[in-house]
Amino acid sequence: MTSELSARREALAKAFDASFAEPISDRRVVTRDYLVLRLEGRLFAIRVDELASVHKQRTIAPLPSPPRSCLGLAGVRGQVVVVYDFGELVGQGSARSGGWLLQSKKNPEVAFAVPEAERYLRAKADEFVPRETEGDDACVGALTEESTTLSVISLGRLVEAIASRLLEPGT
Amino acid sequence: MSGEDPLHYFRIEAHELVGALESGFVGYTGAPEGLAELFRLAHTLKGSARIVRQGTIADLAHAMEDVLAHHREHKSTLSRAEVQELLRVVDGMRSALRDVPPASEERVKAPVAQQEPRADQEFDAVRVGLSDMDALAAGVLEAQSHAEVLRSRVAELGELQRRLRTTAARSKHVKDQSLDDLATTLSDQTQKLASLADAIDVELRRLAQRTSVLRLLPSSAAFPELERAAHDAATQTDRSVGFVARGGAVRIDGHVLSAMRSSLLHLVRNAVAHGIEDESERLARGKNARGSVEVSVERRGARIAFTVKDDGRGVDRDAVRRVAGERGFAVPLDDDAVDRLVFEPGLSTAREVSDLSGRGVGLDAVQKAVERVGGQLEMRTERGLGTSFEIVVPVSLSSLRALVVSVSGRTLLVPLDTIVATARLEPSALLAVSNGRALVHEGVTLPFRALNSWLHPERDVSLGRVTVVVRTHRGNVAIGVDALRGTRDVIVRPLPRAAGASELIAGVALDGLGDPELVLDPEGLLGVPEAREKAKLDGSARKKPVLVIDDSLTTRMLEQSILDAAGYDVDVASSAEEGLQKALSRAYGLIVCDVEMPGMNGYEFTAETRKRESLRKIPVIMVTSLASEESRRRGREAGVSAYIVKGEFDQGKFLRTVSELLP
Repeated sequence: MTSELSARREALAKAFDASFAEPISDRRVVTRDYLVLRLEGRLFAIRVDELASVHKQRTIAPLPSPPRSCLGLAGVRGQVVVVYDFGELVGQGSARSGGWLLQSKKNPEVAFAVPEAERYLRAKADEFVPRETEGDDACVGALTEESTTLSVISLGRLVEAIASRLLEPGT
Repeated sequence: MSGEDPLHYFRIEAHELVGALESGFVGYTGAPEGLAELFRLAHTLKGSARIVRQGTIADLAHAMEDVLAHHREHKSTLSRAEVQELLRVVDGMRSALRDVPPASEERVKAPVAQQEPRADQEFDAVRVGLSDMDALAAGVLEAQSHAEVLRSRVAELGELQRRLRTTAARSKHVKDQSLDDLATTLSDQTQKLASLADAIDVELRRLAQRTSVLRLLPSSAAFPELERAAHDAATQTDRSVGFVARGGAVRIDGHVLSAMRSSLLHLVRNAVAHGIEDESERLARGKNARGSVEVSVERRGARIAFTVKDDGRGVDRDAVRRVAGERGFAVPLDDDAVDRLVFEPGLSTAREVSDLSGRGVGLDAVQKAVERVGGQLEMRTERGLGTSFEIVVPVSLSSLRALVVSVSGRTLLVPLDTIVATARLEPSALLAVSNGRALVHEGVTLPFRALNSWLHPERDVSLGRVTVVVRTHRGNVAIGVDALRGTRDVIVRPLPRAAGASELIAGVALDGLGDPELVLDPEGLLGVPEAREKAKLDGSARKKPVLVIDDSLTTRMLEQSILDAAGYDVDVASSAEEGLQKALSRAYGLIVCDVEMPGMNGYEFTAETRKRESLRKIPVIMVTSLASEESRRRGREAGVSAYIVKGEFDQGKFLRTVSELLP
């Protein structure tokens, strides 16, 4: 029993030392984390590194003359955030009731209401297919997962779109 | 830290004592009790400074004590020169206090650690830097974020416990109690943990609220220094000046107060040095020999207004024009443009101020400081009567007492200091006017805004059951709400930029659960017609204009202002002849006419309009002091539609008549 353990310890020590001698692998798998959302049956993916936080949807105080797609204000950890309807912004229904609030990292004053956060997804970099021509919306590409295709939406782009829309006269 | 730093308490106490000495000398009136208090303060400071071996401060306090003791013994009063000298000693103390080493440096060797505070020396306040408060607020926010993670972990535990129970129920192999017992224990512990997480959450919210309050300073914190500045400037220029401060209870973000400090000091010094005349000049102008400088702080929605006002000579615009010409500036004729010139850097040096015998010094610097915080600076001046400068700055945080109202199931907050009255909303007191509705409240017609329709412009909603009359700079406005829910102190923060601009919202506050509540800005109410009525205005329902004819200026203006306030487009004429000319040149919907006027009277005017095709159908309301039945009969014969006797004039009835007759 003791010799068995000694042999095992020896093997582990050798493997540990050998790992330093090996050249650095150029086949490291680069992955990226996403949050998968489902809106009216269609799947969307949001990059997790664009999120400041995720909360269950709280009471939203409506504004008297809100900007387009703005649902109102919500309190998140003692901070006031402006809630925008994610579905309406990406042209896919509305999240006016229930669901989740996704707080933007680019502008933590902005959160997006989504009806359902389906799951967490870690995808390889080569599974992301960037959009060939840049559009004027927030879709930056697609993820293919088995037979399903998910639109990848950039929250940063959505925040920029909201900011530039607020600068338009009459808004 | 205070246990290791024996100077910690001394710094706190000495700051308080030096501040009290300064206020005492500035406000010294010669009363013996004032002198005794100053002596006590100097004596206490001397003792404390000696204990911690702060010799400079102790010596200065001792010297001050000597002067005060002399007057106390001889029952005499301090001269003006002595007060000034002692204020310089106070400055010396403050300077020496700045040199007291910070905690990590020099240690005092005296065994002060064992000393207990004296009974008469209780410390019930501490000074904390704004940066420390910011750090505390950030720490609370961080703790809230961890608490939220804790709550989600507890929720996961609850889920685990449910799965365990389900597994135990389905299991065919494990028949002993161990799985059930495990599930029960887990359930108990999860519940306890959940209660604890809830309690932490509630406490952290309270802590966050309290921290926000602590970041706010009462405006009065800035007053002693401003009073001192006025006092010093008055002494230097040998003028007699009284200082008045108002609005000290308004609590605002310490950063804003700090940013405005030097600007306010500048304006106060300017007011004394260049605004207030010397005694002989004031007396010659029929003014009180003692000039006045008033500083006031007022909340205006999401902004704070600081005003520095003097009753001095005002800006000499001719002098400004002359100096502007000499300096190569374009010389404007318009007074407003001249007033703007005083903010030009080229006209803001000390020498030019004496040349101008008025304002100008450093105002460009004040303006820049105000602009840096996104504020605005305005000057109003009247030759011989005085000048006022108003700084209006946005605030990141402020506190106010609000009336909590309920509207369509939502809570709205109305700043309590803007509320004039509240009353049950009687539908009979409401009038339909051209830009919405008006409410007759205590005999006065006020614009009315139903907050329900403001929140839900797309729906047909109720006007409310309660009316709240609020004060604005353009007059009072009545708002309709569903219910009143009492008053509450709230911390107001600005609306995030991503919410767009709303002139109706002063800011947002968080309730006990951390949910936002909107704070109404009454100033914005008049700028927006009632939402539902606005739609009508944009369509064909816009009412035709009204012509008021009366030779009495008072009556003409009164009727015009009532109709204006109710949103009508009004023209006026001072004679029937002028009225006829106007009526022929514009398509009026209604004419309000007096009877007795020089030249053509009201009956003749009405009869004349009935003869003309283009005017025949325009209703005429006769408003006259003639109350006899004979006069009314003559009116009817001439073709008037309504007859109102001035002695029985009632705004509500008048507006109802106008509303009924105007197409």
